[in-house]
Order: sequence, then structure tokens, then C-alpha cells
Amino acid sequence: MIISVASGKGGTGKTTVAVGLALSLLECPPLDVASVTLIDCDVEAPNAALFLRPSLGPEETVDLLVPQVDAEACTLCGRCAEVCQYHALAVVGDKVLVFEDLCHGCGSCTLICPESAISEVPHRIGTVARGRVGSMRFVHGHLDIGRPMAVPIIRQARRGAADEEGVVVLDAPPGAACPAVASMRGADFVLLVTESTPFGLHDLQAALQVARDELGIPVGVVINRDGIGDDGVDRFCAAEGVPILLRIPFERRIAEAYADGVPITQTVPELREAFLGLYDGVREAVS
Amino acid sequence: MKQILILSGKGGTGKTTVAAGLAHLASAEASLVLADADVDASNLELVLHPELEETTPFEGGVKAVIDPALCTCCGRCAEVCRFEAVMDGEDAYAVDAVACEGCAACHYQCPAEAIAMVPTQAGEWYRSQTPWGVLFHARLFPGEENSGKLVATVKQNANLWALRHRHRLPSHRRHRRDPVGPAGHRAEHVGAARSGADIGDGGPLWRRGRGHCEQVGSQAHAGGRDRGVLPRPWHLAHRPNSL
Repeated sequence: MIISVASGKGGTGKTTVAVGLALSLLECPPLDVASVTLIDCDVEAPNAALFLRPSLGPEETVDLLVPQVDAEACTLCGRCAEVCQYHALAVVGDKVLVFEDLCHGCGSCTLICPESAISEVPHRIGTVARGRVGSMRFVHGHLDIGRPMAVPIIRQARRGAADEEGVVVLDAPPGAACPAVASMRGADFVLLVTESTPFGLHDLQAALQVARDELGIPVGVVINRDGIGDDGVDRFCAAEGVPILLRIPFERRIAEAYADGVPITQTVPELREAFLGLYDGVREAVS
Repeated sequence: MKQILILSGKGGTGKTTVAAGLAHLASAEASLVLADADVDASNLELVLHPELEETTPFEGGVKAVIDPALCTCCGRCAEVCRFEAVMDGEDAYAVDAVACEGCAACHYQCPAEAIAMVPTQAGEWYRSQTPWGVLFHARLFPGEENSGKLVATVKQNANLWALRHRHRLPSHRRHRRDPVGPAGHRAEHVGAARSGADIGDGGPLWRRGRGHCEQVGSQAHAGGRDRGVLPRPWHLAHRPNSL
């Protein structure tokens, strides 16, 4: 089962929830959980490793296939530049210029070239590292600084996850655009982490629209720092029929654990029960 | 004009809080133009309570649409698509609009010419009035891409507004840089179009009269560094008469 932990707003506690859930399932595994995998899909700012301190294998490079034009074979017909939707190719004088940073790696230019003068070469955009935290499998992706394309890295980080027997927890990036969608797509359940503030509510609405309405995945809400703000999120969830599966109270010892980079289930053991209850809620909703 | 960019790597650290606080304090001394560049989850509007003045649709990219009447189910589109966006339907293939990156590879490869590239509206951008200044903000529709382009649109319009509505010409000492590229999302930025007596380096130049100012304007433009600066005529068109 793949559970994607997402949120519209940043800093609501996705990583806290993903790590808490994964560790709880690892330490007190329910009967149906054969293995636990955590994949940090927030490739722009992967933070789960800060809590988990995994032992990681060598980094895999994530490449985009970008065109390389063979000047000998090229007739400067300009067909490649014409079909490129991202303006990554331009015929200038007697040369075809390739702007790798604009390329989405779609391969359209290679397919269209009448002279077969275009080949594709790998262009590094980031890395993926795989490792373990005890018996839990851990994967995280890293987008190189300044690169615009997070989705291929998320896809590579998730590779093989769909065939996992056990529970796969995905820590998604914030927002509701492409990288968030890539981290929710194909999941069996999306947990939306929010806080009871107007900001949390505003961004929850966008994330809910993607997960439930566009991708058609069952969703549940986790309210973090419960006790601050207003009852806007509660009322919204009731009106939308979205279950609130867990409330993490706004407490000093939880905030301290977070600030020290310690998983909250270690300093507040009773939260482990709460996370196992959360898993029960997810399992019920999925079946 | 001074531009201040508020940025963070991590989410939820307080960008909006700082932007709103700064706007509140700075508005006492300068006329402000505010821009919420976090188009994915724009929250500055929740704090500033803007009054909406103008809404403009934002056209994102194009997306492939397969005409089922023309589709021969040869499967070429699914073969060339690298974004897992083509689904094998019952008697025709179909495109998953959320996954489609609009690369048009399938459009060019389809032997039956059954695939059209259709422009989509990916969001909206807004100009609003707040007690602290004009706010430019936007909403990227959930699941859409091209947020970099929408960020650029918001910033560009905020810059343009600041330039048009301030009461002095650009100084040649002014270095206006794009704060972050289009990928600099999760940022609010506060552009202050300063006015009044406190006019800094640009002041003396500006008082030298129209002829000199024109020259400065055209130099800045010819230099090509000021990417956001419009061709010269509007400087003059928008100058207050009292100058």
C-alpha cells in the first residue's frame, strides 16, 4: 500500500507525519505490514534524512536526455526548433543551439529530424540515494540547485515502489503543482497534513482538489499543532466529508523534539499509538 | 525603486508573515507595490485583505487531445510519450491532461493526425488594492504546471506598475536585477516605488530636466541590462506634469 503524505502549505508537518507513521509501523508492525519503505519526494528540500539518519548507498545520478546535434548530418532545416515546445533548440547561422536547461527531455526533436542528425545525451539534474534505517528501506531524491525539473527525480525515487509488498510512505513536496502531483499519483491514499489556521485551510483546499477530485484518490486529513488557530479546517472537512484521522496537539515537548531533529514518536511514545490508529483509519478507507 | 525579495528554502518558516510585517512598516515611508510570487499557495492575500480590482486569465501551455473519431489505436502516441500521459482506452487512446507536459511529440508522430494541441488556462493573476499598496498575486490551478511563467508574469506586472506609478525616473546607478529566476517560487516580493523628498542617488539627475532624463532613460534601455524597463516613450507619458 502506498500512502502519500502531502499538504498544500509548507511547514505543516509532512515530514514529521511521514517519519512518525513509518517508524510506528516499523517498531510495532500490524499483522498486515510486511515491510516499511519511506521515500522522501520533496526533492527540493529533502528533510526526512535529518530525522532518520539513514545509512545510504552510493548516489544514483538522475539524467534528462537532451538532444545533441551532429553538425555533419544537420541540414539546418529547423524542423527540431519548430517542434520544440520549450524553445530549447534554435537555428542560429550555421549552427543549431541547444539550451539544456529549457529541455524537458521529451525526445520530439530526435523523432522529427529528417536526417536523423539528433542523438540524445544524458544531462544531470539531480540524484537519488537508497539506503536503510534499521529494517526500513529509505530513498530520497535531490534536485540540483537551480534546476527546474523535479518530476523526473521523483519518478526515479519512486521506481519499484509500486511493487512493494508492504507499506510505502511518500513524503511529498508542498503545493499542488506538478511535483506534488507526481508524488500523489498512483498512491492508494493521500494524507493531507494541515494546521487549523486560515493559511492551512486555504492551501488544504488546493491539495484536496488535486488528490481527491483530479486524481481520484481517497484522502484523510491530519491536523498538526492542533489547538492553535480556529475551527475553519474542522468545519471545512465536515462540509466536504473528509475524515480527520489524526490530531497532533500543539505541545512544547513535541515542538522540542522537532526542533532537535528527533522523531516525535521517540520523545512522545503515546504518539506511536496515535500513528498506528492513523494507519488503521487509512487501511479502512482503502479497503 | 528598491526591490526586496523574501525567500526561504523550507516551507512554513514565515515568508508571508515577514512580507506582511515589512509591508505594514514600509508603507509609512514609501509607496509600495506588493507581489505574492508563491502562486502555488498564495497566502499574502489572507493577511492583507485585498480588494480585487482586476483578474486576468493565465494561459499555461498546450495539452494534447486525441480525437477518438480519428484515432486508429496504433499506439504510436503511447510509445513516444515520456510522461506516461497517454492511456490505452477501449476503442481510442486518450490523454491524461494532468500528466501531459504539452511537448507535442505525439501530435507530430501520430500517423492519423488525430492529436491536437489545445491551449489551456492554467490559472489567473490579480491586481488588488490593499491599505498598504497595490498587490499583485495569482492562483495556479491545482495540478497545473508552468508556475515559473506565472511567477514571472506576477513579477513583471508588479515591476511595470511600480515603474509606471512612481514619481521619478530611473537613476543610472540603479541596478535592478531579477531577484531570482522564474524558478524562484515561494517568494513574496515587495517593490517600493519611493517618492517624496527622500529620493536618494537619482534625485539630482532627475532635477536636471527633461533632456537629461531622456538620455538616462535611453541609455538604460540601450544598455540592455534593465530587462524590465519598457521602451522610452512611456517614461515620458507617465511623468507627472509638475516635473
